[in-house]
Amino acid sequence: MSQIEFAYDKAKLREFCLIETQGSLETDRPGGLRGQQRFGQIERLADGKVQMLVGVHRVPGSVVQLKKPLAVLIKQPPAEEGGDTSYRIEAIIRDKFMFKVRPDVILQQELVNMPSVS
Amino acid sequence: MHPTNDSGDFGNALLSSSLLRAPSSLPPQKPAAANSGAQGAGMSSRLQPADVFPDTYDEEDDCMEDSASNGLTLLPTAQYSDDEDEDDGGGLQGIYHSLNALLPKHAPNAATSSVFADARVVCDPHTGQATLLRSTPTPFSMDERGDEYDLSPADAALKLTRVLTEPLDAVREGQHIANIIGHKSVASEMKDKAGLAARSLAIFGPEEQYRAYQAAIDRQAQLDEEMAHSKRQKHDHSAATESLVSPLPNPISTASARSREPQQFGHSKYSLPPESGDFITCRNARGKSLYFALRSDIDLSKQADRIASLRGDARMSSSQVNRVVADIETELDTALALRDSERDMEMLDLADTITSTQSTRSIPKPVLAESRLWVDKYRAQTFLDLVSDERTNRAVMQWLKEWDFCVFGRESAAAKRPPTHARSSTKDSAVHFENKDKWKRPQRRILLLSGPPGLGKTTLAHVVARQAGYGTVEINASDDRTAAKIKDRVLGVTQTHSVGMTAGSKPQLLIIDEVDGASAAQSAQGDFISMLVKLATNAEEKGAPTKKRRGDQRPLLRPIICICNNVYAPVLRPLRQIAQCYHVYPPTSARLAKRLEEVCETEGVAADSWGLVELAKQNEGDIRSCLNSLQIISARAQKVDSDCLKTASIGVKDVQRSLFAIWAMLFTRPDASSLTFSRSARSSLGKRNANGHMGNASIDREYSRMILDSIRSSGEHERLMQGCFENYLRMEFRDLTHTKVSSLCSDWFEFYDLVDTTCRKNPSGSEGLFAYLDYPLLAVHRTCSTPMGLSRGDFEYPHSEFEAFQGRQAALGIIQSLMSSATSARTQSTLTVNVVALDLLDYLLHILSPQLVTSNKHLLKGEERNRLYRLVEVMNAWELSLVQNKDDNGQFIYRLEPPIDRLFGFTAQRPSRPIMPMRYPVRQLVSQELEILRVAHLAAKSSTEPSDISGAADAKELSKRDYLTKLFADPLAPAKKCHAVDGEGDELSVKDFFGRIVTKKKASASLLGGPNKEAGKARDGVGASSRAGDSMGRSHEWFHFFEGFSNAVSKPTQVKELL
Repeated sequence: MSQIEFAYDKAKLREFCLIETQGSLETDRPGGLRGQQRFGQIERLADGKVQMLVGVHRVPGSVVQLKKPLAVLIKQPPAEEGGDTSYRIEAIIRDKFMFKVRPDVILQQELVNMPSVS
Repeated sequence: MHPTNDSGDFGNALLSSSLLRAPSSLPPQKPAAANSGAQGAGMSSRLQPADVFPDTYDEEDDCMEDSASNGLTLLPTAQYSDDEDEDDGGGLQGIYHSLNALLPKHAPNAATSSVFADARVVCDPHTGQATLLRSTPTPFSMDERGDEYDLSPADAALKLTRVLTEPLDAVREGQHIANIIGHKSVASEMKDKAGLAARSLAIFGPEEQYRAYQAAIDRQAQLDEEMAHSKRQKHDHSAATESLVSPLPNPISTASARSREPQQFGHSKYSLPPESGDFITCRNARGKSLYFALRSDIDLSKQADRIASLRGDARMSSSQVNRVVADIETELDTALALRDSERDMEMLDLADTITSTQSTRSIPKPVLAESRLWVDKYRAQTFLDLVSDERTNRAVMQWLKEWDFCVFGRESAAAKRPPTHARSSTKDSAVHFENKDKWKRPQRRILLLSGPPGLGKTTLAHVVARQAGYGTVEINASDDRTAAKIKDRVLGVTQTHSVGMTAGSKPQLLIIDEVDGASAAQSAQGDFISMLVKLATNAEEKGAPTKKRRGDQRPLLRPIICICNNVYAPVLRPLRQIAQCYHVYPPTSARLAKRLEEVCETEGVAADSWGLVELAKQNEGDIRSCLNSLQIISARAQKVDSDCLKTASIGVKDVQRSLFAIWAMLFTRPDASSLTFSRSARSSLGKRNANGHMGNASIDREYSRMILDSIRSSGEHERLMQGCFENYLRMEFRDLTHTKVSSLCSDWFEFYDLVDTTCRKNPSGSEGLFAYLDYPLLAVHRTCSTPMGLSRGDFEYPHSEFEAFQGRQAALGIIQSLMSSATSARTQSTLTVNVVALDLLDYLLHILSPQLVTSNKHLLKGEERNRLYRLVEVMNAWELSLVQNKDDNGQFIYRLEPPIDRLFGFTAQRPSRPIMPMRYPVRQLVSQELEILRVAHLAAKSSTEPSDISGAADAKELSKRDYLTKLFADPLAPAKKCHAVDGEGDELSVKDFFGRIVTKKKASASLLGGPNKEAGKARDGVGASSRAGDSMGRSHEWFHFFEGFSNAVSKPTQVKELL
């Protein structure tokens, strides 16, 4: 019977963010989303809400507490042969940012003053 | 003088005597207004049948006495006015009648004043008696007409004053009389009548009056003796009544002596008609007929001569007029003598006279055959006499018989035999029997007879009702139109059955004549018809077994027959539904002629049966007008035949000649026989024939006059001229050099047009020109008439004008629809009907008719394809379209809509050059392409609706490009085709929103091309397209929003995977 060890070090916990979106994040850059690059930003607003800015899109969202918190685990291979696999708890996620409404478009100032369509 | 009656009125006697005394106080020399000539001029001798007036004093004359062997002479007149005739019921009747009877005869020409009517004096020369004949005595006695008693003496007195006094005196006398009587009304009446009296006086010449007065004075003494004698006789009633006419030779002893003699005169000599010669029938007081032979003028003049010679007055014999004046003078003498004698009578005697004359005055009204209309005389009296259609008669009778149980309480024959129940509407006859109510009345309680006037509907109703045992009450709905009035009468008649029966009189049947004349207006009780309907239907409800005889609303227990001319009059609609309707058809002319023949036989009029049939036909079975015509014709002519009918305008309903008749006249060259058309022409022809010669020229002249008359009476110049104009070239008249026709056209037709146009433009200002409208027609006659007339040429009624009018309207409609489809404002402002018709259409049709042969779109080659595209564009611009429908042979065709091609076709012929591609498949292709273009335009318009100006134009271009792409999309060589079309599109001139011509710009295509390409990828994505992002320039990331659903999938995970 093997035993899985979870290393829980409260001091070493990192802040993780769970994002749930109605839609996908896309890019036309050659590297795609894989490259570690700045994609956009998420801001916490004063009223406890959040918003996500992707390109010219601003997606308003909200913070929802998860019913069951999630733990982010990192698998630690056994240090020596025959040793036990252990997991290190990297973070515990208790809430998520949910973006489920249609994004707004952020326009530049010069574009704002253009003749209205309607 | 008159036998006395004890019920005499003292007051009247007093009045009379005082009145009679009055004239004596007047100087007889006083001249009366002497304009007798003026009065006499208006007089006419009216020799109407008259009645012996019974209580007249028979006037005797010494002159008359001398001519005793002459038999009866009719003196022309002795009359007084009709209106006063009504009033005479009073005591002095006897006196004033005789006096009045004599008055007018003093007019110098001895004719009758038209004021006076229907009375005259018959003198018997045997006895010297003059008897007043009156046509309309008023047959009442004092007992019955007590209310008139007061007035009558006043009238009598007034009339006496007319004879004897001046107008002023008449007024005074009248007032005096009125005061005596104490009747205010009489007093006022007197004043009114004083003027009349004055007029009456005017007819007396002063000389005659004076002479008469003198004669009267002379005889006074002798008369007094007679008075004494008559007093002894005054209680002898029988003698009084018999005192009608008794011949006594002595003029002095006239009145009293005559009253002693019983009526010898009536019985002996005049009770039988004379063996030869004309005579006049009269009746005496007892209704006995007396026949007075009429003497010719010669006899009369002989007699008058003798009178004149006896009197030694040569002047009188000079003329017939004077002779009669002589007679009048003698009459006046007698009258005045009589008056004087009466004046001296005692009051009581007078009173007695009044009453006795009253009591003797009941005379039967004279029944004189000639005075009756044949229509009344020969009205059908029995059922068998009815001329109207027998089936209808029987049906009406049958319907009426169905009331028998209800009205008479006996089973009707019709009810006993249901199978033979002859009703025109048999469908409800079964129901009819089950539904019999308590009174077993017919289902439909009102009978409605309809038919044109004069067919005897009313007679039918009356005869049938009488035959069935009803008394008839007729209501004429045209007269009393108000519903309330009629309702009372209807209810009175129809609901008083028990009273009618017990009184022993006949039950009444209501006949409502001219029910279609009833007003449809609503009054308080509703209109008349609905009232009738309610009456009938109400009764029906009450007749139902559950609630019979409910108090207030009583059922209809008497039949009602309504008569109308037009059964479909809107007013009658409700009645029609509940009434039994029968239409009375005109009898056959043979049947009618048979009846007319019987009438003619009875009347002693010779008539040939063919003429009678003709008459019947002429009147279209109208019995009434047939009889009327017959009577009038027979009064004029002895024999009634077809000639007589033709000449007598009376029998002809339509005297105006028809247009065709006039055309026939116009195109017929006259000969002598053709002049029989008109009476005037015939008479003039007759004159010339009498001279033994009538040339062609005069025939022509007469005939032309006839034509002119006909044209003027018809008054339809325009139509006549049209008929001539359209047909004159078809007539086979001789005109080898065409000079006649050319002169006709250039002179007369032109002249007619000129005059006609002027007249139409300004009818009031050109009245004088109207007369000239006749003569061009006459010119047509002069030029184009042939002996054959219309029989050879194929004459047609003129309709080209109407056709032209219709064609013009149609063309105008087409042009206007084309004008309205002109899209641009500028075009619309310059387009008028004339411009379209003269300038635009020709070229437009050229443009619309390119050469297109290929009907397959894919086989179209460059130039031809261009032409097709152009055609479609132009058609679209003018909103023309090709509509598929079937032609006369059932084949499908494409018609141009609006059909402007018709504007170029003359009279249904194919246009000389093809308009539009004519072949069906080509047209189909054009139509389809047009449709596609329209749809594309529509789509473009809707998509660019909310865009700015340039956007609209661009959108149009875009849509056109789309359309073209689709149009020429060739699967084999798409790129090439597209390119070709692009080049083509540049050449197109397309109007933008404001109708300006816009040339396509490459730039716009490139402008739009970029984003289109770029958007191509984004197009399957949604919403926030990258076009906006593009404008940001640097953002390559975006949020792709998934609308509507989540992609989240829950997937079972095993711990093994985690390990």
